[in-house]
Amino acid sequence: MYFYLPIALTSISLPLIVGLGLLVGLLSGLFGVGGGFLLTPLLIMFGIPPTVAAASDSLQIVGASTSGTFAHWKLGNVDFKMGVCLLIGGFAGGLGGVQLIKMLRMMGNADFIIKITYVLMLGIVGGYMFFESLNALKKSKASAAVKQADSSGQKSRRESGFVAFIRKLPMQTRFEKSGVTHSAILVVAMGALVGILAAIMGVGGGFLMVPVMIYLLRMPMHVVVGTSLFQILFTCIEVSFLQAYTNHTVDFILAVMLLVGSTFGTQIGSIIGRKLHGDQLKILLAVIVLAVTAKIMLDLLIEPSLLLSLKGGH
Amino acid sequence: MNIKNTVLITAVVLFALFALSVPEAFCITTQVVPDRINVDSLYHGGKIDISGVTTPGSDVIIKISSAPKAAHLRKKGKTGGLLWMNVGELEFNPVSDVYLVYSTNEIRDILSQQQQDTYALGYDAFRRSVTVSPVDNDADREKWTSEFIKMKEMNKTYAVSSGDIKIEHSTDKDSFLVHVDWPYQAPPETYTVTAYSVRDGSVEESSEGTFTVEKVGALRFLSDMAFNGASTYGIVSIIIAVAAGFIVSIIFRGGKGGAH
Repeated sequence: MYFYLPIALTSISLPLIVGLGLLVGLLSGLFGVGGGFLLTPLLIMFGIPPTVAAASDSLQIVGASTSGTFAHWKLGNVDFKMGVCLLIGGFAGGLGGVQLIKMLRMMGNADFIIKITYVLMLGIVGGYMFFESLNALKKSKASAAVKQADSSGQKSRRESGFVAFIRKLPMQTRFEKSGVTHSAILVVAMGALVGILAAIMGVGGGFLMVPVMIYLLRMPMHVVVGTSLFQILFTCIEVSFLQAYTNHTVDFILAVMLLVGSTFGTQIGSIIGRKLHGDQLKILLAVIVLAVTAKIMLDLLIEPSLLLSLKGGH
Repeated sequence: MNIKNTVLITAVVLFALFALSVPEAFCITTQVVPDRINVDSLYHGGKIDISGVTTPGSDVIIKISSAPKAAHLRKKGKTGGLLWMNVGELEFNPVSDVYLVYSTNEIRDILSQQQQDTYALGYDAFRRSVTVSPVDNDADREKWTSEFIKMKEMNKTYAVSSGDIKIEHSTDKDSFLVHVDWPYQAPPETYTVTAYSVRDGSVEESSEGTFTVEKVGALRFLSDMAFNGASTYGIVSIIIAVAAGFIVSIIFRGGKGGAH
């Protein structure tokens, strides 16, 4: 069954798009990522113009993250205070990132910077999460208490420099839901950092925000997922409106078809997620991020079958 | 009867016989059925029949195209001798969104190069007419024009083929017919169909018809709203997306419990 898309101006299979939505919704519910880094390239692959794919993807993330945020809020897994601080930073960083891209485009090397940033960020984040989670899983299986004590001792020593630095920052604030105390400045700065990178890469930034919350803000995994979805919801509302208003690239029918799959996928993902250990979730996300990195690297190294493409997209 | 009269009568008879032996020159006609394709939510392309009559023994070429304009595309190239990525933009001008050409025989076999260029018929003429900028030399221009054709062919909006036109011969005219699978990738707009009657390497006659591909119903309403009421379209889209998220959450609420 095919549907014609009024803005993309192409006909697309309904089961295919609903299936893609379901897949990305599952990731969203499981890991708290929007899935734009995965879905937009897939939509382009199936013939959707790049600008329409990116804009419509952001509208479907609004629906999926509403569903996910609501599900996690019911479970008490959303740290609204942390989410708002990250959002403030994210908006500011996003604006800065857009200006940075404009400058790079004028200098003529924006595409190179975008691609390299993409590969490096995905590779570093995916690689770090993979090995860290693998170690954590191994440790949890090890019975030797001495080893664990040594390990945690080393970890404490490793963390001490960073912890000492962030504790000196002003505006220390207690984030009850996450059970952590950080300077509000640090949290806003982290949000801004992700906002800048997300603007450069043209994605929502969920896959960057999640590791920042886990490793730098030391938030527990279950709160990370809900809070990340909350933050993504507002970021994508802003992006969807701007895309619809300024570029006329939001395809409502495409977004609805994706939403049919992704809202259900998000719910299924959050149910599966509750049955998995935090480290198992992290290692799964790391594998997906590394697989996407490998695909991008291959695309960069192998001569494409077509040397021309439409403008827009990631 | 003197010799002078005999020669005159013979000349008239011979001229009459010669005139009768030459087929009657037809003005080629073209009919496009249907002349309108409605694009609704379930649209997945369409079918068009292009038919007409022409001078017996002539070759026929049919061209479907839209108003030519400039196209801006990204070009990929190697950076640092290793990585393939977008390395700039190219403008192709003038090019149509759709360029479908059907002929009874290979165009280069039935039409001179000068006539191909005059009527913009076939890929050879297309390659000679299109300008690509910025490019440094003819080899680059040729390379990027070929890539442009390849991209459009993959999108099914460009094709040049021979042998698809069915011809029915009769004593005083030839009828032609071609069935076209109209690609859904072709954007909604008005297209021109031109039929050419070709003989001895030249176009004898041509005839034009048009058909319109147009959005209708809810699809048209959404499209108009996206462009003419962008802020309302954006806000309504977001409200529906948020509502859909809530509704699904409520559907799933019964099965909830526990935490990570």
